[in-house]
Amino acid sequence: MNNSATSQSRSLLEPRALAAIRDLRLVARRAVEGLHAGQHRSQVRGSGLEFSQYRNYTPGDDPRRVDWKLYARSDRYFVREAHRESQLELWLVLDVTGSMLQASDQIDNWRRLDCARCLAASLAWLANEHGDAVGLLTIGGTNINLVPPRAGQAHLDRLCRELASVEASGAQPVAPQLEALWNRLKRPAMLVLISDFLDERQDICDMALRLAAGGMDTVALQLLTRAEEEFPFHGGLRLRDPETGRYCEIDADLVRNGYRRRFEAAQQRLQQTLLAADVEHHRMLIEQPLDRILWEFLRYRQDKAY
Amino acid sequence: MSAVIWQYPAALIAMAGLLVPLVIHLLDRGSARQLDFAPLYLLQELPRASLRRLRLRERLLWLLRSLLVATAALLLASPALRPEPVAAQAWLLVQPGLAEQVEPSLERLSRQWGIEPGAIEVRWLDPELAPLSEPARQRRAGDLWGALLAADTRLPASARLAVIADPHADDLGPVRPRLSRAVKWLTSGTRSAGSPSGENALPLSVFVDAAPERSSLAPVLTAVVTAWQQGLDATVVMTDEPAAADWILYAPAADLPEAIVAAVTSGALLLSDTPAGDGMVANSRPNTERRRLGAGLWLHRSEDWTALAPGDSNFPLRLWRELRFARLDPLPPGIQIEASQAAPASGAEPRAGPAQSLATTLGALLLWLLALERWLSARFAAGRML
Repeated sequence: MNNSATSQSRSLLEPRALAAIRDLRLVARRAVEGLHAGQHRSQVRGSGLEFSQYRNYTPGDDPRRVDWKLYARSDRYFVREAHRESQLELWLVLDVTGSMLQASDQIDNWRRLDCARCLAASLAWLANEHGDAVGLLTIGGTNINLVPPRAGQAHLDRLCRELASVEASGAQPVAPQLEALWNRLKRPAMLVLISDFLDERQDICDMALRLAAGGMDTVALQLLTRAEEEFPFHGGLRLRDPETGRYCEIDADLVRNGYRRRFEAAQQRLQQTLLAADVEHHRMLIEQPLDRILWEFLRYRQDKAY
Repeated sequence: MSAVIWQYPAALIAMAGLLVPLVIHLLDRGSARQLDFAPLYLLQELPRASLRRLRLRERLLWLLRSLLVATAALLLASPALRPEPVAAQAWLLVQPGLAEQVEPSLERLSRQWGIEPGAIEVRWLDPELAPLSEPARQRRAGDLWGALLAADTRLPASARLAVIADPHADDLGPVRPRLSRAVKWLTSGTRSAGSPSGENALPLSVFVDAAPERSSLAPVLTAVVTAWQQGLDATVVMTDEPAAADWILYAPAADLPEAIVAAVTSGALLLSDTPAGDGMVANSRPNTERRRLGAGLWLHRSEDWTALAPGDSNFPLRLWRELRFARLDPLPPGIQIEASQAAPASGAEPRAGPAQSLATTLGALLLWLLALERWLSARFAAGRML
């Protein structure tokens, strides 16, 4: 295939374009294509393809794992051990409250939820590539949906279907509704929390802190829009809070500076809180290319791992 | 009262440009009126403007921008202000200084025109046609015709016009003004040049210096003066002193004596049959030449006066006519102009009066609006209210 044909097919496979046709599997594959930075190696040894070491046979070992050729040479029983390809359990926690419906003012038909979906699907794909088990938890309004972690292609398909069908609405559920969830999330796992972290009560932030305190390797992926960062509006506006439905009439020019100051202060507070709880925080704009978001996130993980 | 006239009315099509700020205003309103915004809580407690005030502000800007476009369109159409004709159909214009003639003239006019005296609009004959109750503008030399022409443009085309005037010699240029209507020319008779109006009883002194062989000229001149006297209130006095004379008849073939030159230079009229040398200008009459001499005038007749028969009654008549119609400049003392003869002609095309262009005013308004609009929108963009 020549270069121009390649670039054409690449542009046709833009994550955003793929998201529009709602084939999240394709989006995920496209987005993580060429990214191998997220590969992680389990320290637990067991059965697998890649050889690690031999050890002496002890009663209870599966006789099938005895290396019979070695027994023929040495007359001793050795069990062949390999790196187990994965023991990682990845939880994708997706905030599906009303604020996730925030649309970009620069890209048509591109909402925060769309970006979060693609991001979640890409991470799920990536984890599945490495044989990791991926679970999905969507929290928003009265809708709490949990898909237990599992590995395999069929499971990935299910995750993608779930992600494609999820819709955002309402506000963050109150703490008692979430109590049952914490029991399901007790085993140590990696947890990626995708949200805007833009609620007044900081419920999502509290959730991240609680999960981190429970021994989870928690990553907060904060998705913002450029308008939220820069407040580029002019003139009179009637703004609606998508979660509470409250209205606020403002003069954009009048409040811009005050808003920007408060926004940055709130972001700094959030970052400090998360850092103090050892929660990894990534702040991203949904207007950024999806593969770039992923790449930055995964490179950071890789740098941290080594 | 003034009427606006447009020099390029087609440019008013540019008024369609008013749609531009309107459309921008409406689009702007529609697109950004309501938005979902997740971090709304961050806006709480920030100073907020009431929507009413915001709309007021937007409308103010819209209004300013519309005015800008409208002013630009008006500027392109080049409007000018023309004084509106006053509605009255009968006019009596009075030359300043002749107010005492208004009453009798009004009665006469109302009889002739068959209308009430009250229906006749009486104004000063000055460039502004001021009412009689206000003081008239000081009359300047030569502005009688100017004022009359201006008045002609300002009156309705069908209005009848009467004028009480006292044409001064200064008013009489070589061309009589031509108005678009017939003028009833009301005058108090004749006026002699140089004498204030109303005081026309100046004695005219005449000095005759004739050579003995031309002594017959004396009765000729006397005949001229007598002929003149028919229409002149002035008395004619023969004098022996050239310096005191208004007219000098000098017949000797010799050079002019100093005393006579001095008298002519100070304003007298010299009639002579001796050529005055260089500088003589041929008159319209074939056998008369003239030359200015100081404030006075030297008329040379090529005709040999001595050849005239002493009793020739044609000569005074001819001379009288020549002097009357010669449009002499300066008008010699005693030369009379009949006021009726100074009446303006009629039959000119009705003309539009002078229009005052509004370009400067509109240009200034445009700049001012532009500055105001820029200032306000910068102020609003910076987040400040009015």
